Amino acid sequence: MNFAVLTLVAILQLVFVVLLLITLALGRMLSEWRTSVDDRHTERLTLASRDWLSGRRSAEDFAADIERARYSTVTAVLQRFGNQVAGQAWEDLVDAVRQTSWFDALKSRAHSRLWWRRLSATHGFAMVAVPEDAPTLESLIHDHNPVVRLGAVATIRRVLVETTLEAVLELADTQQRTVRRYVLEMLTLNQGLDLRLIQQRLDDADGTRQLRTLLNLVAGLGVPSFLDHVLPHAEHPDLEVRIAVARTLARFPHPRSAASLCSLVADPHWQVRAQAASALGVIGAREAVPTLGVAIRDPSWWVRMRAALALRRLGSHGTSVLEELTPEDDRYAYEMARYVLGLDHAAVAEYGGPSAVDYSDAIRRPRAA
Amino acid sequence: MDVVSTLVARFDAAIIWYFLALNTFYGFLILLSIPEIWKHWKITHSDNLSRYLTSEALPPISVLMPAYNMEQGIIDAVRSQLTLRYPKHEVIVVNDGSRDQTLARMIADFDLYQVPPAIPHHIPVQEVRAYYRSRTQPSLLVIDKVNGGKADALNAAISAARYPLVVAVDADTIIQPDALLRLARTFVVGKPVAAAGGTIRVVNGCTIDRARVTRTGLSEDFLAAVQVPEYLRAFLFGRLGWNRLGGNLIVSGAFGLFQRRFLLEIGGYATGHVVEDLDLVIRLHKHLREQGSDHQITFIPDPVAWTEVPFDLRTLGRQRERWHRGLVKTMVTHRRMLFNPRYGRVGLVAFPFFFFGEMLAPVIELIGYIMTAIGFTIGAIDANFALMFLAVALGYQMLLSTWAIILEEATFRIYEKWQDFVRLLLYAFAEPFGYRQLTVVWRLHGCWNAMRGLTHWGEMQRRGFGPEIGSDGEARATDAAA
Repeated sequence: MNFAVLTLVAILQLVFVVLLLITLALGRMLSEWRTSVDDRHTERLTLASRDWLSGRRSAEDFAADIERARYSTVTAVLQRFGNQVAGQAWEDLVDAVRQTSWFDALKSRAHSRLWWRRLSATHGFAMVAVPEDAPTLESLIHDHNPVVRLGAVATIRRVLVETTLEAVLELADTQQRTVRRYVLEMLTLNQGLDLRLIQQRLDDADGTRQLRTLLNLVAGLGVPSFLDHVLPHAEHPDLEVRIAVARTLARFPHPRSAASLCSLVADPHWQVRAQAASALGVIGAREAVPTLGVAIRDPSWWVRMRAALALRRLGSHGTSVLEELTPEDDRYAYEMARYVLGLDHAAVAEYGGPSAVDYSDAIRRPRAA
Repeated sequence: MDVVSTLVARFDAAIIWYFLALNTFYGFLILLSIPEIWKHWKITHSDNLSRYLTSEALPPISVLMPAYNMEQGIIDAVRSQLTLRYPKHEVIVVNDGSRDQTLARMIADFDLYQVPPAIPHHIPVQEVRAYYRSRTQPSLLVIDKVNGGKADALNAAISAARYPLVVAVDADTIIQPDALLRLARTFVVGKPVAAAGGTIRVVNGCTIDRARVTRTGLSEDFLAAVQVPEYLRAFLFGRLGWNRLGGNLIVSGAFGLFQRRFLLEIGGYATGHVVEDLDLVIRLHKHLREQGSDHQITFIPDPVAWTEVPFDLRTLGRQRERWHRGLVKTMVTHRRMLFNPRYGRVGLVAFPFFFFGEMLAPVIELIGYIMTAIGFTIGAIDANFALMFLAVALGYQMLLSTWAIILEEATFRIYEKWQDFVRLLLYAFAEPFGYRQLTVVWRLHGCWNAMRGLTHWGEMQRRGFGPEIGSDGEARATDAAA
């Protein structure tokens, strides 16, 4: 190490520090200038959109205002108004907006090599997509970047043709639980979802992953006619499917659901038993009191808790079972009964509500070799 | 004499090379942090968090909050956790044997009632006296237990947690209302995550109302403000850079999210550690590697928690001494990971960096000062060379701090006022003159105390978020560790 090298490093450092300081100051000034320009555009567009909402300005005039604003500003304003306006008025605006340069930019962003531009395109399409955009949306749903995929899933609220449904279900099949739930939730928000198609798929599904996905979707939809299509899967060999069945049946308060859930409370896997016990409480199945009376003596803490909460939810029929338990009878069941009887109504509702649990989270599958 | 001169000169050369290698590695971390922060910024900037609020897809979260002698701020702290924006979360407060009115205040304010102790004890902890539920807040559980320290309190909360994700927070840390949504968003993207940490920012100088930061600002107090560039460096490029290297060794104990099952598998927090968060993350890394799991331990910059930093030299010195003492103990405990290929990049890169670059840094810096002094005395070192080296050393630190401020400015930019921005820069430049040398002394003290086997926490003086000055902690007290 000689003096010359150190001097060189010191000079370079000085240059860098000065450059960084200049960058910082210029960056801050530029940022403030852009923010003020954006604020002005946002204000103008907000006023224009209010005029449009009150009928003082046509959708075409509003679209003309859009031409002068930055892409991100337009997107933000449309997002805000998209949450407030619906129906024909919004569709008229969409027709007009699709003629602007903003929409041209949106289309080009959808095919950009940069993932964040594609992501911004999904946000735009989530507001203004129409069925003819389906091929573009499909490619975004299949995007290699998970963030873009997730953004693209939000577009199915507006556009859901068979190919996009296919793409979305395929995506749900292959993703982790949280992603799957989110994707299916988006599907349930689409008013035009073809229920017969879903029923048909549920009947024909053979793979565990497909079944699990469809059952979760059915649980989200909660359409009574699905009950007949769910019950046959209660004896499926895969425990995750049986958990999904138990969770789904919590949406169908019917004696046949109760009967099926009672048989699931005797499942060899505690996750299924706990899920089924919870569902029996949610659907208020009084006929299940004897079954739950047995389940409260289960070796699993979770099953005991779910059974006790379910009994509490069943009113006097259930609570009497809990009150009759003694320490000599079964110490653990007694402790759980005391615990659940000690909870107030709000805590019982919070603990044992319809969306309280999903024991598929507790499955540990052996790792593939 | 020639031999001594040669030895001193060679020793100094070795220290210079160590210093250059260390700072070059920091530079490498900076480079790695750029795409990371860009990615997060783009997601944060364009994402509409409110769509997750109504979603049942996000996994429910148990917020775990140990509390020790927190009677002044406990009600606001619990309320702020209960009102966090998240679809479904519960709050578990552990009263860790407080000797003040912490529990009594909670009982009165939240209308708590005792419930029978039918809660599983997955991890052994000090005796639990009682469990309480609230009549007004169904998602609140309060555990009253015998004092066992922060780690023990967290273990009690982990056992009682009902949800698959747990977030450990300090009672005196302010969590940004949307921070849980931001932390959990990583699960919606589908990444296999075992733990995720958010950013800790300095709350001194900010305006607080009912345990919420309502206006950001830089503290007028020099000692508090000079720590801001330090925090920015640590979080904005340190941890982001480690994300790319796959070896984040720290998820802050003041604000970190974990998959509960992994915590149970490793037996929760280790009691008796003064930096239990570092030890936990290292054990988690080991566990994941040994299990062949692809789950990551990651840092996410946009979820923010605010912590009060020490405002007097005594408290700051104690805090830094404790942090370094904990670092030494953790490194020594897990020394088998050092250069162990079994632990992948954690064993080969992250652990050695923390061992040589963090743990030994103050010792080497001290040796450097001593050898330089000897070198001067015996004429083995040229004065111009030494001064130039000093200039380069200071320059490196200024560069790193400036770069951290650039990252902050380009992304989150929480200090909006020009006055704060300029002061932040000035503090970044002032930091290497005196303050840094003080931290070296405190860290050396930490090394010394670690060798003596001390395990106390030390008293922490805090002003608190209200008008009164809070003082928490004695030996093994529950405290914030940023």
